[in-house]
Amino acid sequence: MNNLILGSGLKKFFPLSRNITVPALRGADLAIGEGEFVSVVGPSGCGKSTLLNLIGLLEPPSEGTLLLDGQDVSLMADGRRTAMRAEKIGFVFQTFNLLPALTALENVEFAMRAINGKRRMAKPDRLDRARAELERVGLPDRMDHLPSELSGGERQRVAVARSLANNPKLILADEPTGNLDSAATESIINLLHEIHAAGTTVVMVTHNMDTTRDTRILRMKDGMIN
Amino acid sequence: MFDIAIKEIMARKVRSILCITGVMICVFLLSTIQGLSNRLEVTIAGDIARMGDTMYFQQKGVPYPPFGSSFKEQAGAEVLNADGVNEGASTPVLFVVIEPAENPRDAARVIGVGLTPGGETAFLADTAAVSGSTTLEGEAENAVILGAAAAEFYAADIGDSLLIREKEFLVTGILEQTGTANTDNAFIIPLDTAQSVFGRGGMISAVIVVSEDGAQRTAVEASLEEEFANWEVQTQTEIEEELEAGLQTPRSILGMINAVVFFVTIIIIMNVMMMSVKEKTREIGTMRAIGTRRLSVLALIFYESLILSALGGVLGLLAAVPASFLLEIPLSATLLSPLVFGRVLVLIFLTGVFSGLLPGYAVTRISPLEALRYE
Repeated sequence: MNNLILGSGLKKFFPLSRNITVPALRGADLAIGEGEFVSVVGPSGCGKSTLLNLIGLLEPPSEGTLLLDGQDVSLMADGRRTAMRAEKIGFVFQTFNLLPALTALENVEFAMRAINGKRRMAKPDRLDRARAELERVGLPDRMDHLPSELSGGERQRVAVARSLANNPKLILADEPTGNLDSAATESIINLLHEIHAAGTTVVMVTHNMDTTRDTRILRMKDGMIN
Repeated sequence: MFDIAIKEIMARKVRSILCITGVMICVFLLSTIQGLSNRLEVTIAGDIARMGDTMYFQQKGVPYPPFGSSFKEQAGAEVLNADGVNEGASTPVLFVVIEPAENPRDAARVIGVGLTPGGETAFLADTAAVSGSTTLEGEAENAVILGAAAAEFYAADIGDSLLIREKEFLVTGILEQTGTANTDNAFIIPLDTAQSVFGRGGMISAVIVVSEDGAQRTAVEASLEEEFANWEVQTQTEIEEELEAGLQTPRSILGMINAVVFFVTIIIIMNVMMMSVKEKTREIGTMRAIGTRRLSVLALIFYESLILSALGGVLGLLAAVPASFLLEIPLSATLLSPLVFGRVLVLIFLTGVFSGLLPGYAVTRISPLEALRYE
């Protein structure tokens, strides 16, 4: 199995004041293969989300090396990181983070606008693909609804559909069930497993051990991976 | 991103409406003020154009039109007999204010113009009558030709009698509207009648001089100025220069008002867009996280500010139409004036661009992660 994510000695410090920094990651090493479903677990403040943000290219590591799909992304320029996020990574946030002025369909289609070059699709094709993704997550009848008109579970399904919009290699889910009831939780986890079964690598940060079934578990403590 | 900008505007209706209203008021003010200024300039340009090749012989230092000039008719007769002067086409003229303006800065609502019957063309140039005649020649001594605005003021028609200073006048002509106060507000009567009714026996305000040959006007002017050294001969060019100088202050004030309106509009939209960026920080963070480029988010902000200013601008121009009717500004001086329309377009475009600059800069400074954490 090829490694999709390979990190070594990953450290991340956050400035608290001009002279004081707080370490969030203290030298994490990790390897996640293509097609894996990995759950990152650990107590609050252990660095789970920070690790996910590094993998998701939302911020660079302070120290260490991180390879994503064979490319060193540790020192990559912002523009390249942005393009890589659009092309290779799908995000699912705890708070859904849908754009409130856009319908479910438009939210999914919006993500495809970030693709440039040969892979960029025309708007009708983008809308067709967005419809297909929403049908895939079980929302064929809610496409024209605004996020405010959807339940929490439905919003998260739209967010999952959006994460799949550009056919990414990697789905990063940060506490995807943190704001959902148990039925919606079950349904979202099943959905992530379906996506994983279709060949997409999934990395999920969670507090809820019930959601980690059939996944490889990475335990974190004090900014380190055990 | 244009379609997304429209959806963002639609999603925040109250804020968008308030912003558009603010821009609308600014554009309305701009176009109306510009229209008033245009009307003033058109009136003055009409007055000047109407003078054609005529010259005004009058007292020194009296501004045009020479209402303040007053001298004995005998002096005027000498001018009429001077070399190169077409006596038949020239006329002594007496100006008197019959109905003063409500605002002292405006032209009198009705201006009495006493002149020699047959010499009307020197004053009226090619102004036509909408009814009746444009000459007093052959009419009774109480005949009057009314300018369009004067006729409207007295609600008078051909054949009507008007009692002015206890003298009954008979309306024999009503002139077409020219857009110039001197003609539109004129109450044209024989010179003798004017002198008698207004107690100015033997006095005139000026002599409107027509040269025998238009091409010799300069020579006639020079000869008159030499012969009558204590008097003044005003030509079209001199009056134009005089009026042009007088317009400098209003133009400067107008320029300042335009600048203020421009900046107020920018501040309104910029404020709204800054609020919008602040409100949408998390959304912008999401956009950036899922791979939307900075440039695309910037475009979204610019489109929003351009759409808001364009909508406000169009509505402001439309709102200026009823105001034009109310203030009696012809549409050609406001909505249909290329100058006003062009300025408003430039204002809309510049406000859209400038008001997007600061929020746009703020957007480019947002890190996706910080934005996602923003509460």
